[in-house]
Amino acid sequence: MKVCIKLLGELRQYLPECGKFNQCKLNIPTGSTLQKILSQLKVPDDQDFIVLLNGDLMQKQEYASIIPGSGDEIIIFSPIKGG
Amino acid sequence: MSWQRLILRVNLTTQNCHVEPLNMEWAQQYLGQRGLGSKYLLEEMNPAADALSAENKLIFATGPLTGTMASTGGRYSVITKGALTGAIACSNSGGKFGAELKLAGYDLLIIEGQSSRPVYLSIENEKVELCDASHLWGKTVWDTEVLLSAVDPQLKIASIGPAGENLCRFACVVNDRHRAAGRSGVGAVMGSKKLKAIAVRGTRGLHCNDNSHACNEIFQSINIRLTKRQGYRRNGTLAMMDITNSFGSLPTRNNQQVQFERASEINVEAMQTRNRNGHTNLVTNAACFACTIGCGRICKIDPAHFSIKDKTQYHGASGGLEYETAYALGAACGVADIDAATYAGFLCNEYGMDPISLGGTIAAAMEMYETGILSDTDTAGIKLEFGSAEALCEITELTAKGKGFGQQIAMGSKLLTKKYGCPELSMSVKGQEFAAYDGRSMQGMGLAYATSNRGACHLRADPYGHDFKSTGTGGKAEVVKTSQDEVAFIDSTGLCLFTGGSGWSISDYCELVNTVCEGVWNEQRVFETGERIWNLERQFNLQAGLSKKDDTLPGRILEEPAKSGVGRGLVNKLGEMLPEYYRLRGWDQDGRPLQETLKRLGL
Repeated sequence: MKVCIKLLGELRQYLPECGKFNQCKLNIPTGSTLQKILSQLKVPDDQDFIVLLNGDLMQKQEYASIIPGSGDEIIIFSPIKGG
Repeated sequence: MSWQRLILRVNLTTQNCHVEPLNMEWAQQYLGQRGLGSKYLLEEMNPAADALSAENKLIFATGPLTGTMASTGGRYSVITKGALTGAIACSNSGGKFGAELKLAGYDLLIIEGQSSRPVYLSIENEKVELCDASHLWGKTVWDTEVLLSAVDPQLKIASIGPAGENLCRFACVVNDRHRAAGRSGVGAVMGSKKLKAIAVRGTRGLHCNDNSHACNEIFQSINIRLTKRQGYRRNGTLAMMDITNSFGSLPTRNNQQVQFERASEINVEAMQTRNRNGHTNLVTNAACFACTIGCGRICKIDPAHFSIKDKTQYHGASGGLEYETAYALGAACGVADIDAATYAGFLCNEYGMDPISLGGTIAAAMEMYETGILSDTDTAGIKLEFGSAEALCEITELTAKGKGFGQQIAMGSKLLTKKYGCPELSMSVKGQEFAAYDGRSMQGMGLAYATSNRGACHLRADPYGHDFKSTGTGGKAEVVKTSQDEVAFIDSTGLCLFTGGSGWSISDYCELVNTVCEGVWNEQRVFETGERIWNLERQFNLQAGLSKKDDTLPGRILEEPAKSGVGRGLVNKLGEMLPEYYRLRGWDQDGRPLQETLKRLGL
């Protein structure tokens, strides 16, 4: 199944090759957890990031249990400061 | 060491300039720039004085690291009583002017009194002169820089445009063409003093440390730590647009919404990709003095765009949209036209206006127009509808030039909405318009706005990381208080706050300050100094007549739940956070510092 991934700000450097600018449709095995999908994206482990699933804020402890559905939107960004 | 230990004092009433020693006891307590400038301001003026009177002072302050090769070491601040807010104002700028002032030999430049005729201040090291500026009065910032640079192309210039001369309440001081001490109306104070510009050339150098070789090595080893994160250089601050829009904290149409459905037309992608005419908005990035981050955007407007079709002077590249500008001249007004926002931003630089307050005030006026409070008669026919790029450009031109309904916009949203009987439509704190974050999904930012000493501001605290992880109120008071103190310290060093978001930690700032300053600067002293500065600013505001009643947010943020985003259904729960914040600050329940707090901080 496919999910829509958006990597915002400086995280867009980790966008898979199939993507355009900062988003892509990612093929994942049905039943993949959020954790598994994140590991596929190669965002470094030491990078502090936030995850929104269909507009809802996900907590880190939920990553291993949440299973996104087909067509879901996953937004990932690093908390930067504005100006 | 890196204080020059000298103040240049200029009295515009008597037209007298003289040099005096810096109070080194205060320098040890307040470090420099924001802290030290605020100390001098409170010591020397009555905070209750009118901001636009001769009693107000205007202080240009550098920090001990300004002019050094520490990355971003070119910052200066303008400290005064704000024309927009009536509160203490401290507006920070980059570019090259601050470093040049420091290299001319001065830590602080204190301007006092009022001139009876337009003047500009010429500084070439120890040679200081007030010069007639009647030929510059009425000129834009850009023309002023061209005219003064004709005398000496090496001059670094800070000036006001017609907005400052006309006492537009959110006029700013612009240096190096498109860097600005932008907020709180510091340019109007300069205009009230009839000081058009400061032109400085500094070649006296700087003695950083007795061991210059070791000093350079320290700078290099710390500077390189900023190369880990490249986001600001690649994307500019505009990267925040997609983040806040996804999160639901992008103030849209005067905070009626928290997400802008057309944000993709004013984001990084829109700036970096070709439009249908084959034109790309972004030309390159830019860096201030000694900066290794390079967040600045240099942009060009599509020559075919309606805003500049017949105005070839705007066809070149100049300072482009930052996130705040794109929010204020874009989402806040519902405008999804990157070239229109860029043009309005160019005008802000050219005429000397703060784009955040300009956009916030236009957004309030648009809501007033759409709800029938303002009529076509009031606006002289301008259809001030949300989303109208044409109206945005036209009203920006009028405000810049002090003409037509632009004269009303120039009052700022607080006075404008009050005049028309709808103060609830001003999205401001202490009279200063919101920055680009909605305080409902970002509870900490709401508290930061409410308690900011200079009015609503996104740079007086650092609750970003905490807010993006939690929409609750738990821990916000602590995060806001602690980061306010940290930021107050960094703002006093001569360095840019973005170093914190690019890899530097408290220990890096300590190492840098220890390299150039006498005394031992450790983490404890960083926070203690920041807390002292914060409380000093608070004392200024209390003496100016502000109080707990001013530590609040507009009803829209406190009572109208956010309609979408992560914070949908939420209002800002300031009432839950503020008592805890006061307690952590060591203030009483009315927000006044307790005697023991003042004593502990040596105030």
